[in-house]
Amino acid sequence: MAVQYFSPQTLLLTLSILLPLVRPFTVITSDSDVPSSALIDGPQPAFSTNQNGARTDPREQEAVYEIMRATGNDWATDISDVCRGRWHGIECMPDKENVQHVVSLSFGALSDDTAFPTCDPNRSYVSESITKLPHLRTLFFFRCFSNNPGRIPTFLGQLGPTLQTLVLRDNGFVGPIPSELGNLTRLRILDLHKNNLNGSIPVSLGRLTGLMSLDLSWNKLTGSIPGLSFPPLNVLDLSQNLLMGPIPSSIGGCQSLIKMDFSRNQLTGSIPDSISGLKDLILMDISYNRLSILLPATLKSLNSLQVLNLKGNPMATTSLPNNAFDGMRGLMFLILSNMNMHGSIPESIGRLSNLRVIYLDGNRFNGSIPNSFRNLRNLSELRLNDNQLSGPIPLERETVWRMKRKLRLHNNSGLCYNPNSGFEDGLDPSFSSGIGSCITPTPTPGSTRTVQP
Amino acid sequence: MAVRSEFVLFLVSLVLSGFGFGIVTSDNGATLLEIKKSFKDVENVLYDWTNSPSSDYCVWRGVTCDNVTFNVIKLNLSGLNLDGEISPALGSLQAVQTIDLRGTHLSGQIPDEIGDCSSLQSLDLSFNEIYGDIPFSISKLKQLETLILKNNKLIGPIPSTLSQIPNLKILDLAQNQLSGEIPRLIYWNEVLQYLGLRGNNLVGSLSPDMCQLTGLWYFDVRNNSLTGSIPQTIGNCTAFQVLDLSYNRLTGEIPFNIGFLQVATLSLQGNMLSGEIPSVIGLMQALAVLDLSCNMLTGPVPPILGNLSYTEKLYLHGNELTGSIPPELGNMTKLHYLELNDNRLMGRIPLELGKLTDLFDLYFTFVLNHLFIVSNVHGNKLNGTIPLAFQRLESMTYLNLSSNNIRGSIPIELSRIGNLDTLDLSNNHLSGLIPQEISQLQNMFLLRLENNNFSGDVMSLVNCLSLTVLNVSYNNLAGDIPTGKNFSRFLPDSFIGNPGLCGYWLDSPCHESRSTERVTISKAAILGIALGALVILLMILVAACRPYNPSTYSDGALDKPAVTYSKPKLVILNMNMALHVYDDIMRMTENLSEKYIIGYGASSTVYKCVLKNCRPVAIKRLYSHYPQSLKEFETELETIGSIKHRNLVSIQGYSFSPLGNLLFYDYMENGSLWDVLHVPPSSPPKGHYATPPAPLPSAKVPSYIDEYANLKAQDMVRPSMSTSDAQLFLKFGEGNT
Repeated sequence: MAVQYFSPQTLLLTLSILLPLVRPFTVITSDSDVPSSALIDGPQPAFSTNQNGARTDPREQEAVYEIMRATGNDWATDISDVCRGRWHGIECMPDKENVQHVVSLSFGALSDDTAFPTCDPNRSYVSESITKLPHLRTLFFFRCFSNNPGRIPTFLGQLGPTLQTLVLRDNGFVGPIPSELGNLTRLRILDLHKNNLNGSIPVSLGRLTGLMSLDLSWNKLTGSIPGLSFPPLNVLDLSQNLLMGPIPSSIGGCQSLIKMDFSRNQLTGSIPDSISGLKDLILMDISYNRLSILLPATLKSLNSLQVLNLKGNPMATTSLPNNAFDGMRGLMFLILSNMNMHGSIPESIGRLSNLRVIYLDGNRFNGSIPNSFRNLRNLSELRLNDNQLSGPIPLERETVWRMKRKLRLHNNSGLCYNPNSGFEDGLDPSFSSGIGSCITPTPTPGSTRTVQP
Repeated sequence: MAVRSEFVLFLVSLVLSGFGFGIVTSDNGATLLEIKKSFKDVENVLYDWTNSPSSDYCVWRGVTCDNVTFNVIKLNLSGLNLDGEISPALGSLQAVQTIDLRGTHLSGQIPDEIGDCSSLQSLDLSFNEIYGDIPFSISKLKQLETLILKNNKLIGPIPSTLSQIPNLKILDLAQNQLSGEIPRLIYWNEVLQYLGLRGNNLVGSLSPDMCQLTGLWYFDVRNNSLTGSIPQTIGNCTAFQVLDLSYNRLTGEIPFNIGFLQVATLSLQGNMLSGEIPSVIGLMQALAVLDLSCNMLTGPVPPILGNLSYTEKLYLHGNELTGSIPPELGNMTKLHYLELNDNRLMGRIPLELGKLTDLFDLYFTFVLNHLFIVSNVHGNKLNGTIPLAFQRLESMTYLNLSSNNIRGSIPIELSRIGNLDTLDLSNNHLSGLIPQEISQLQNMFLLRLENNNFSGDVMSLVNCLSLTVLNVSYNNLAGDIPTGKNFSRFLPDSFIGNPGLCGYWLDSPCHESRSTERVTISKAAILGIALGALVILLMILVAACRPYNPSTYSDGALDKPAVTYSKPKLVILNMNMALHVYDDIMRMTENLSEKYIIGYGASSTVYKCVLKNCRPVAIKRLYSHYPQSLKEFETELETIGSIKHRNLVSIQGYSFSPLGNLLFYDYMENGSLWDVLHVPPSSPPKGHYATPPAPLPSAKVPSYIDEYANLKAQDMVRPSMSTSDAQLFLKFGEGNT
């Protein structure tokens, strides 16, 4: 039988045949007090004709009109059925009675290719009608309310039973994060990046134990980081705020964490020992804070870590133990600039063969560059400038020539290169000032060069 | 020169005034000149970038300034032949929002200082020769929304730190030499729209994280070395419009969850995906391109794919798909390209594919080769003919039906596909003449008919003036190869394997005989040798038959092949012919009168002769106007003699006569497949040879399973326009196993 279009009945029939074969029906059941039919969470045809009884819940339709009007999209009220025709920014799902429900609303000029409804920047606001969408899973506003700054509406907390994704990115929201957001216990993604939020992170957010991504970066949040222990949490970005106090040791409970970005805050104290529980951590950036206490010995057990950036934490006269990074086999970026560290550079760094970028500049490292650095054949950037290093540079000629300007050795006490190493033309003069051959100057011109032992 | 020395002076003064790296200058003009310094600019495309006091850098080529601050906010030198490297001085353009150096012949590395352009929103360094790692400092560009570094020579990993660019929307690193895994963190970005990683050396598997956050609509990792399976979480990627995972080493099945996507392009070709094509793909109605080719997919072509009424390209070739072509594919009315070749599909070409005509725009590619090659346990094959419905596919430019078991002749209706530029019917069992009408295909530049059973001559191709590639080798073509028009461009290889085809080149089969003056003598000698060989051959044949045949006619067979050239003689090869003499046949057919003609072929005309008290005989009269007709005759007999199969239509005898060289066969009442398929049911079927429904007496010769020999032989003994009937043949085969 050749069917040009898939009638909903045929679809349901097909789905009921197809779905059990591959996986059981996934039915998202709402646990709200309002009785609502379960949605059929299966693949939908792109162009359902909706002609055979499929219809959009009229209350939800009205609510969508309201929300659209509130963002300056008055035209949308002409859409006879918002769930029909796959309007950009609106996603729906049918229930068993073939009634369509709005599950996702997205606004903002993200890109030309993702033609979400844009927002009128001067008069947009979040309509309370959002609470009339009992099946809403995703709410996404990007650069919508910047010229009409207001607070994050507390009524968003009423979306608790269903909301999984709340993105209020780059919207100019002011005031504190409403503690009501802690009612969104189904939330998997909370993104409040780049607003003007102030106050402290509400403790109620600790109830969002299903969070996979929490992005509160680029706000003006103050206070200390509350105890967070979200086992599913993958991404925690609190960067570019005014957070103070120590990193809570509860962070060790976020066992799935792959990204921890606390950079550009005013955190003090130390990295907690519990950090060793973050076996999946790929990126740790605590740069530009006020950490001052010795790095924990457990740090080296982060064997998934690729990026360690502690730049700009004025450690109180810290020297690195030789085995400080021993277990970090996957480490590619080691950024420890401007940390007031002294002592010698740990030999063990040279054993991390995946390292591509090492910044140890702006410290008070002394002694010589460990010979093990010769093994770092993948190195593309090495900054050892502004230290008190001396002695020969133990790098392969090829490594030097490859890095060129990305090898920065200037402003050290007495670095030199072996005269037959072929460094002379490889070193960039801007970043190797004062570095000469390791040969003992002999007054006799024309004498044969000897390598310093 | 003046400009240059002035420039050097300027630089000296710069150095003297303490200009150096790390010292930020607010003088954008000086910065630009420093940037220019690292370009070779051999074509002097930046001639207006000068240090003259009257020169305003805001009007320099490619420079855009802010109206108020006069800071450079845009630098667009794309397409200019700058050569050289990117200057570290670029980092001094602190207000610059857009840098476009696409296609400017730059090499060297991306300078660290790029990270100082803190206002940068868009950086395009694509199509250059830039090498080295992606610098760490890129992740300092917190305003960056577009990063396009494609088509360079970058190495190293994709830094996880790119995930720290909060507004990165477009990341295109395609066509570099990046290695390592795709960092999981790349996907944890709410606004990333476009991820182009095509053509690198990336390894590892696709992360289940790839759609944890929404937004990504373009995802292209084509041509890397990714392994593992497509994650089930692909169903989360509902924003995807382009999903290209092709040419990696992905294994496992196509997840059912892929049906959640409404992509316009789904490219999974060139992997090692197994299992069946999920029917749910039929719900992905936004698909414009569906390419699952070159995997290890099994099972049928889901008929529900016919629902994809917006799909323009459907590539399923190079898998292990079985079953038949669903006629529902005829509903894919927007289809321009359909490739199903190199599978294990069987059955006929559905006539419904002819419905694909109405909405065709420009191109239609139809490749069905290797379609019918699978035998079932009974050793049968299904086959088909070229559907006449194809004539309606007038937009078709490319038709490839090679390497099937397609029988019959070329329908002259194909000549109506006026746009056709490529016609490949090679390696089938097509027979008959090359139709004269083929010359109407005035756009055709490639014609491949090799390894079929075409007969007749090649004169019908003389007017195919656009033809640049021709192959008619290994057929039964005869006659002279024309030397005029475009034929001189074809090499002998295009024609070999046609014993009767006479070429213009030196070692052509019949070139020597025609080049000598003693043509007739020569001819007689050749004939003598040939016939001598034939006699020996036939003796061997008969000897081989002996254990199976009663001795009563084996003697006769030994005696009767006595041939003279003085008067027509009948050579009897079979009992059925024994009672009839040449004169009887001539009398009954009124000297082969036209009214007894039952068919024409390329090389022969076929007559029916109803003899008294005996089964009717079919007479195949080979055309005699070719000088090498004897050779052809001999060749055909040789071929027949060399093939022994129980299913052969047996040759009853032959004769050299003034009316031409005649072959006598059993006449078959059943008609042919061609009749069944192509003649309306109302019209009376023309009677002529067809595959016999039961073994003939000659089937007592040793039988072989070699199907090819079988089919070849059938064609040899059939009039050119006939084909065997698939159904009959199938039944026949089953009946014997």
